[in-house]
Amino acid sequence: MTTIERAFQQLDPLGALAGRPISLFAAIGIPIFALVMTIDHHVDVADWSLAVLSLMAIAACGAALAIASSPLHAPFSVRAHILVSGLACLSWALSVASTWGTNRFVRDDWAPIAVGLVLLSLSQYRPPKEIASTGVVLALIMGVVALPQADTLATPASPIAIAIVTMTPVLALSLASAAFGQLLVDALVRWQRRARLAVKAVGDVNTGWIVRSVQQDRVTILNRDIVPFLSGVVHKEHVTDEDRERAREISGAIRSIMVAEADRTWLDLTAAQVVGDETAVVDPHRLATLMSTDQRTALRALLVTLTRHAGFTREGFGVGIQTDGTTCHALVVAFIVGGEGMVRTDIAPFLAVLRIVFRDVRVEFSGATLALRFSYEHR
Amino acid sequence: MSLGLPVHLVPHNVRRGMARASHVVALVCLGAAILVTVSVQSQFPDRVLWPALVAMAVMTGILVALMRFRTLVWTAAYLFVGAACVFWVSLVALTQFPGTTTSDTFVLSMLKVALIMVGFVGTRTFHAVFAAGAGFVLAGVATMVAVRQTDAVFIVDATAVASFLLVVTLHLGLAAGRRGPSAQPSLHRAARDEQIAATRYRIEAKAAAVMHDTVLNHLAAIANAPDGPLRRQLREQIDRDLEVLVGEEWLLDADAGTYDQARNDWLQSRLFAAVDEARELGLDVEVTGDVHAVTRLGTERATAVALATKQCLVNVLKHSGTDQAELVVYGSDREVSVMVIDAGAGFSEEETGDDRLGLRHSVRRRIESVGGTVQVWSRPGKGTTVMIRVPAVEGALGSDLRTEAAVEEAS
Repeated sequence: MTTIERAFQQLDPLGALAGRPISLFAAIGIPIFALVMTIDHHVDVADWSLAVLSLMAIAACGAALAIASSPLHAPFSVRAHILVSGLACLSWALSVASTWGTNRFVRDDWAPIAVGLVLLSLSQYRPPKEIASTGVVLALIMGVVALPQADTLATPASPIAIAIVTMTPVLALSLASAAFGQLLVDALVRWQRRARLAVKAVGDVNTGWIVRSVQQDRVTILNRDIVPFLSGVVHKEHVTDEDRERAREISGAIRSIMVAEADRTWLDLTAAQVVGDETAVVDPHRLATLMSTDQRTALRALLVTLTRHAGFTREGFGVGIQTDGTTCHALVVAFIVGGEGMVRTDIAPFLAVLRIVFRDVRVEFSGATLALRFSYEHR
Repeated sequence: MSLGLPVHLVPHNVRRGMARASHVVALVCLGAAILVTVSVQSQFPDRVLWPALVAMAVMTGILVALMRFRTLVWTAAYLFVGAACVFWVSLVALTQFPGTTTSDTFVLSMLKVALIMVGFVGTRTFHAVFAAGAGFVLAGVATMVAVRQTDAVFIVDATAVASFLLVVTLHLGLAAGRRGPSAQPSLHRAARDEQIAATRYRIEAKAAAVMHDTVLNHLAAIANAPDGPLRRQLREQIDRDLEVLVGEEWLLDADAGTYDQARNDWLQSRLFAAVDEARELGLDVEVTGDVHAVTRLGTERATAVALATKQCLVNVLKHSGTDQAELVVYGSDREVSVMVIDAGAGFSEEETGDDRLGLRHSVRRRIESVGGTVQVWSRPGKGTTVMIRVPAVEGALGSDLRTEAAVEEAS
């Protein structure tokens, strides 16, 4: 992903994992609810083939919801939303067609409630405005379709009343879903603003010791070779060829150190920190510097977790980044003993975050070797 | 992205979100009930339905007030006045359409659902579920009483039952989905490291520029100097630069001094003293988060937090089998929380023996005595996290937070 949408999952991928059990429950519960209601109201059904197709559509909708809400497929895309809502809507249309002319009451129709519940289960995954708009549009369609049914129903209510009854579950549940998502997004944005201040304050408090540590490193280098040489030359009567040669030598040495330092990226330094070996990173074009702060944070957290894993061995660990001109492709390889399932469980939350900030995140296990691929755009 | 909601802020916000969502459902249901009643009235002008409409308008008014002021009083008012409205509307419906209206007719169902969706926030999931249960029972009783006043038959309202079950399922499901703080501290730590790395990179670049402008220039001047003594200006310049480079803090920004206050507040806090003592005992303590927040605690609470934290750190050293711990400080407008995290042996709470008295007495009781709470997440082999939360002293907010709190209140 290159742009972060204002959906809770994209702002807080870890927090959205908490909603996963509810999504799974909905994915299984909604089709079961539809089945039970269809059997209970079997006398309303005029065309059983359409009723069965309707149940198949809602089952497919549940499956799509379960797959799209998995952290391994994060983030929940707008395409997934269109698919899930589309299947729910198709299921409703087939259900209405299957009971057309023989439906006695609209208030006990399961389809509008199922569509509302599907939209409710999207609250953490899609932007609140999108969910609310989908709900309003679907409710209006259902309301209009309900109008001509008024004549054949068992109740003597007006077409308008019938339309309102049909629309209510979809409207109530979709707007509730949007309200829930909006509150979480607002709370999160407020916290992030505050946390940024706090992180900045900690960074600023740290500035002092970082400055002193950097300066100390420099002074150590200065004191070793440069200060004795310069002090000597300054107080000499004559500058000799030997002095000139020595000045060029020291100058060359400093320059090469400075060039090497300038070539090192945050990723080299991170590798040096986590495995004590910055040669583990192969990034000749310094593409790591093109990552955003969020991308760096997510990758850093993942590398720290991988390398601290009990089964991790330094041998075979490496990070490589290449570019095809417009996109950077990264590969992380790690050798971790201890079973694929366990490693997957341990890194799943970090992968969920990685999937939000990078594109094409793929994880493959071959024996104890984990290969993680992802890509990102040139900024 | 990465700085998601901290684990301790999630439950409250989820309950607030559920309350907001419940209120929206209630509003839509009441709106639908009113519109359907108006539609029925226009269809049957001879029936007297306006008393029901008045009751529904009253209920809607209290709901709007409850959405604005989420207090216990408005919640109770909504539940009891709402139950009276359900009774009244049931009575009107059952007497105006005798024989054709049942106790679970659409309008009555919508009113019952609206009462179940009372949306109480509370401090625990149980409170919210209890309030919804109260709404469910009161609505049922109100309808039952109305039914007894007429010749109608009481029918269990499937919509109301399903709505109540949905509220309970969502509350319990969301509460069950929240696990202990496993991955989040790692992300916060990574964000902090990223910040430090960026700062270090900036300072390194500045140091390189200074080195380039001074030492490298001088070396180049010497390398190209003609035979004989160095020029006097060059000699003086080299002397001056060496004096500065070796003897002074040439990298320190002028603006770095403005953060001295924040640093001093932390260094002088009781919590820092506790951390320092633990470090002397041989524990490697990494401190992250908004450490400045500890200044908002007041003397008594600051002392309690410091002593409790010290005990937690000592526990890490004694029991966890690791000599590394992390201390994370968060500050919100209402409270300050301190998390002590270790990746050590962990424990299960049932198996804690007398040697864990420290956790019970020195940590839990001490914090509870100053109005705070303590939560422990631990599993054998998975490390331990102790979260200490204490209310902040009123009026001790920083100006930025005060403004933010005002904005929050206004929204």
